[in-house]
Amino acid sequence: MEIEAWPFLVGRNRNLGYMPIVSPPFLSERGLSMLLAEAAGGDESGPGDATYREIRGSEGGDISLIFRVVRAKARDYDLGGDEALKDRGGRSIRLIEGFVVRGRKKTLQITHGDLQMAHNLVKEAYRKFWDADDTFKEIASLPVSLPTESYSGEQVQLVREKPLKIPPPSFLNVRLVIVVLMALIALILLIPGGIIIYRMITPLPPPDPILSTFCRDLQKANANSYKDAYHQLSSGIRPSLTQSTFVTFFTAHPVASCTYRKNSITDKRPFGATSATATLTIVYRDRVSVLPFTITLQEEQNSWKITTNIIAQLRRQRT
Amino acid sequence: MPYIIIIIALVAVVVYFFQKKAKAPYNIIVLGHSLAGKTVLLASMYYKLSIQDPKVGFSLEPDEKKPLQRIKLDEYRRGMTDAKGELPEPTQMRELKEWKFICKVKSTSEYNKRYSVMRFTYLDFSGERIKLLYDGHNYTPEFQRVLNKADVLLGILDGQELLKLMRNPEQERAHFYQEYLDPILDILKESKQPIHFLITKWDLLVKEEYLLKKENERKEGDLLKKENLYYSLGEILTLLEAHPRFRNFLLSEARSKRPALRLFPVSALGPGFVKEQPDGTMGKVSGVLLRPFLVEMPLVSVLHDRLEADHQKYRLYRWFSNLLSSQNISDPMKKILGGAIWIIGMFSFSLGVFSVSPQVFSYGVLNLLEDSPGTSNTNQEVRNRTEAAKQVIDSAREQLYRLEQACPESNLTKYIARFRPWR
Repeated sequence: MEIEAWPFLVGRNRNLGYMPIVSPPFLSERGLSMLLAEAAGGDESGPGDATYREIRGSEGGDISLIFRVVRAKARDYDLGGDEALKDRGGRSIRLIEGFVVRGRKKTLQITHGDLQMAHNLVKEAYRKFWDADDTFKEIASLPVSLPTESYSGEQVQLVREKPLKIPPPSFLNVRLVIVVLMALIALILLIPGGIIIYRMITPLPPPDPILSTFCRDLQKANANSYKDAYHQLSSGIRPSLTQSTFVTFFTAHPVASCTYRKNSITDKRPFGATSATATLTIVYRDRVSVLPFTITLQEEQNSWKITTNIIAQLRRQRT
Repeated sequence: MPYIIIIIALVAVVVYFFQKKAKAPYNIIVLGHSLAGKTVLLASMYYKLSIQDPKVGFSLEPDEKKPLQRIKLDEYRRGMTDAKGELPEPTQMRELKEWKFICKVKSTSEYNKRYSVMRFTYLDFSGERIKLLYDGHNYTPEFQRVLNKADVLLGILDGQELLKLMRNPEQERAHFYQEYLDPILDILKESKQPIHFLITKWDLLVKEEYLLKKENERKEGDLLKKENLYYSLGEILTLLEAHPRFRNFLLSEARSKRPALRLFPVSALGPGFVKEQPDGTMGKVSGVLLRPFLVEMPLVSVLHDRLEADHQKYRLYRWFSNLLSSQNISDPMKKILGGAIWIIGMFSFSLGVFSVSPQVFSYGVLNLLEDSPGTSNTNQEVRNRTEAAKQVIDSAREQLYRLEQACPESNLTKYIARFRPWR
């Protein structure tokens, strides 16, 4: 069985840089010859080696390259003697010559003779290229037949390289997606962070106004003022001390005077609880007095609330 | 509770990506046509900076994770210094070499200790890619990717081609502009990164009479003096400015907020090291030593701009830290505030003066939280990374200043602002 193969050559001369010099027409006609220079190259090939590399996803379909990298000598291209060909900077020139085949090939048997044939087919083109100073249009190669198996002749070792994949045009801007995601994460992190910082930098008001309001409301001694006083209790204490119990108690025991003394404040924000203690002294209108008792307050939504069950304390302290 | 777990997970993910970014090297890409001398410049820069020069203030080491690169660089060095060795081979089209380096500064307090001040990648590629891009070929996705990730761009002008242009401007002008200048300008005008221009092969502009001088009669600064050159940097610049695209580019750059646009004349090999042979190629001259000229300056300038920007931001955060210290705030709260700033900084890459690169955070804010020694560097002590970075900035500033004194055109932004009537 035989396959069609097109000789190719990538190289440079004294003045012009690496470019395709000989290329299959199906690449050159589509302006894709530069793919050969993109895919083929590397260090100088060993005496018994050649490289196999696929180009996947090109406009011309998948293609495979079989090539050797050689340090060009003038004699090999009928350009002189044994001296190495050099560029203008005095550096040796490497040339890449070989075959292009359509599609991907799992098994290929290439001989030295095949590679020599490729060399013979491209050397005339290189001679022309050598004289080019400014521009050079690649030369289209004609196909030759290469046997794929049961082929006599000294075979070369094919070193398979990672395929060159041409990515399809992308409509999704990956960078933009990443930026948006990062911004979202930042937002999620900054909201609680901001709350914490806000709470840290916002000074907590002293508990005095709450205690003073509480006492004033009790002294007003009507149902509405008792309800207002009830609002100074913390959410934690309200289930065990309902508003009706509170109002009923003080309706039965109107308050003549209510005084307080602030004792201590413990501030463990932003992560710990913040609490305060005060001593409350209440005298009823019937002149019955209760012993002063200690109440606790806790910070709730940047304000103070009473956490002590006042009614229970009043009943306990009644003299 | 689940909310806290989500936050911790998100923080972990962000920190992971942040650290990854912090470890990412700074990408320097050189833009020049084929034979402009990109690879030789790299090899020469490594040759000159592999040992710390007191004037430069840092040394260059190949990334320890890339041992093969060190071998290749040593091979390049041998090729350059050996009389019969060859200069680095031309880069093939398919090669996109990412040379990874670390800039290190010797510690003054600990023997054999070196501080890494910056990791960078020198992206070397075949010059034909520039032309390809200019000609509108769009199937070079890898190269496009490399261009996108560049942090600084160095546009190379080939001294040999410039010499031709200067000798015969009428005949060479159109060819030079179209082949060598426009393709680079096309890429540079699109970029948002800092830019510098390099004129390579400066040794070719040195007069024969100077080369006849004895080694001990030559000084590095002589290579910028008009009397020793066929054409001065000013004369070259004047001719380049005759190209409207180049002139407009300079004008827009002079008004931009990017770091100073600079123009460095460099010679990878030094005066008289190579000479044109009868066959038109360049060959080494027997007995002449390799004397790279100003090859370190592009890197010095990049380091200066980068570290200076980072250092200023670091100082801003340091100032904030001091402000915190002066307030009556508890230690845990200071750390919380420091951490909050750290998080804000992480997400503030595009907030102008408040943006902080991951690299500066990788050492800056850690220092801030760890009560590092002060940054005063009056005795040029190098005891930590911050002081090492400061030394590099100071040395770089000195070097750039000296070059500007000898050659005002080297700071194009300043030069245009001062001396160009067409502004």
